Amino acid sequence: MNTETFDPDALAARLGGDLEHTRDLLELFLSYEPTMMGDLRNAVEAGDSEAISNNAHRAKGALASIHAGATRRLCGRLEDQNLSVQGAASLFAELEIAWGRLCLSLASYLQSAPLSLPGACDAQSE
Amino acid sequence: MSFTFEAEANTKPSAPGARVLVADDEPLARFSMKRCLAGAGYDVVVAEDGRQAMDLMSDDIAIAMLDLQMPRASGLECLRFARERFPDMQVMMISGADDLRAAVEAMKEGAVEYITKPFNPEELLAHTAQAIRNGSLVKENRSLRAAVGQAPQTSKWTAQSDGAKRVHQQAKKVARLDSTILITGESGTGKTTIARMIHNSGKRADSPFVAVNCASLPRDLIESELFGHKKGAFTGATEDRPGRAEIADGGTLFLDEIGDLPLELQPKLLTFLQDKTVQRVGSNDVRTVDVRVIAATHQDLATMCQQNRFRQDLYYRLNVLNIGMPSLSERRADIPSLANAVLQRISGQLGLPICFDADAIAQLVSHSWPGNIRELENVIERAAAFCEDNTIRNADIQIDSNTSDAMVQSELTSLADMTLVEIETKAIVDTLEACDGNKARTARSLGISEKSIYNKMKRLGLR
Repeated sequence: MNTETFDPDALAARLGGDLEHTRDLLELFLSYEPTMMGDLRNAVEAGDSEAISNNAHRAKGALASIHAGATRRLCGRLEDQNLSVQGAASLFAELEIAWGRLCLSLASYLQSAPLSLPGACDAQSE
Repeated sequence: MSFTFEAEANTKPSAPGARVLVADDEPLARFSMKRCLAGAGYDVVVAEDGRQAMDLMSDDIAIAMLDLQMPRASGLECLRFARERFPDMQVMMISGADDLRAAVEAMKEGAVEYITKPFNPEELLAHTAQAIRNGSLVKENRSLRAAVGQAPQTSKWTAQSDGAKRVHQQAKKVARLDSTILITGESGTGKTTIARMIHNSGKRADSPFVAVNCASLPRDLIESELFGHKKGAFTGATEDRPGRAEIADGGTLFLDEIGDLPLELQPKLLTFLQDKTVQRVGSNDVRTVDVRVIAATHQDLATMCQQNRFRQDLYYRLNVLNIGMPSLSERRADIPSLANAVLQRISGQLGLPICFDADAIAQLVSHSWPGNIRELENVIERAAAFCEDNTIRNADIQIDSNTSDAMVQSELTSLADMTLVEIETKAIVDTLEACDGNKARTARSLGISEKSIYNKMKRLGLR
């Protein structure tokens, strides 16, 4: 997995190895991301610089929470209120691609991710 | 000792069930913070924007954690609202790594701490526990101010006793100067109150008064709390962070419980006092700050120097000007007015015209008050709660037997009937209680290592 898209090890390490917390956070992101992306899209289509900046800021925070570095940086650029309407639209198009790639990575990770720390199941069964 | 071990010892809620408001428009941050805080025993309420946060604020909220950038009202607006309406509420700011300047500005407006997103759970819990302790201290300070009939912004200090008059005179004189001050005296005598009074009466009054309690901070974190750290300096240092000394720039840095400052950190404080420069942990950059330092302790630093537990050069550097706080038993003449001031405040809170009868006042004056003003206030609060006809009589005054001289004496005598294990258990339990459950402080007070306190508690079946 490309850690620039999403770094699961960094996320788990920050959460003290709590894999349940990690999983819940990623599932929450996936359930909430359509709203976040929809709000941002509406703001870009309306050419509302302030709304673009605020929604990009919120998305940036969520992406930082799950260690999705590349997409977070794109949101950081979109947060800049000095961006022209055209510039924001172009950047948003780039973001949509990165965002889609990220969601696929997250879904794939959740399907294959361990449910608990190695050894935890052994300890429980003893 | 590892950071993790320290964090475990210091992240337990100081006030179990304390209510915490988390306000952030970003749902993942809300979810994670709520999960961590609730898991540690806090009662968490969440708000999705600034307006909702203000609506949810009440006297029940011990700590508000406010995102700086929220819709409908910013974190700074919420902070100002909280400072005005709920002065006891401790406010911590939540910021992104690129909003640090705004977070530091918020601290100058009264926020006690800031945490950066994405946050580290251990750090979040350590700062929360610290904020709870700060909250207790703020309430205590205000009670003490009320008890001595003194507003924080003025230098009024109404006192009849020679001891209180002397303190007032000294505080007035030193407020004009910029020298380092050491305030000494028993716990509960009002050292923090006097430090604030000196700050508020001096030329730095419009700049921050930043307090650091050296006894309540985890040992491994004191240096970074005081002097800041550079990103990557240690595990959990996810961004550059200024220390309290930098935040106090232009104002006063109050180092409470200075006797608890670890010996290994004392040379760095000495350098700071001499040069007024700070070097963040992990950084080679030297920054100059303009602060006045006031330190306070209930310990005998001179004796600690003789025992090599405190550096003599640091002691001399701190003790440029000294103010010795009289114990309450040394200022009995003030007890009637102090007691009436405390009762006036409580009466106001209860909305009842409560008063003392003459015998009750005489009983208060005759007690030795080993816990000083803090103990006096507790006794009056209890009496006000249980008295009848809005009058506190002798029978309503129940002096805490654990702190009375007679009880202390009887406890010493009764030790002879206890086994060594019972004495050890009692010493640990009593010290833990005195240290608000903080195992690191308990270990220091008992003169043993933190590892030993955990081992002993495990062996003795204590939790």
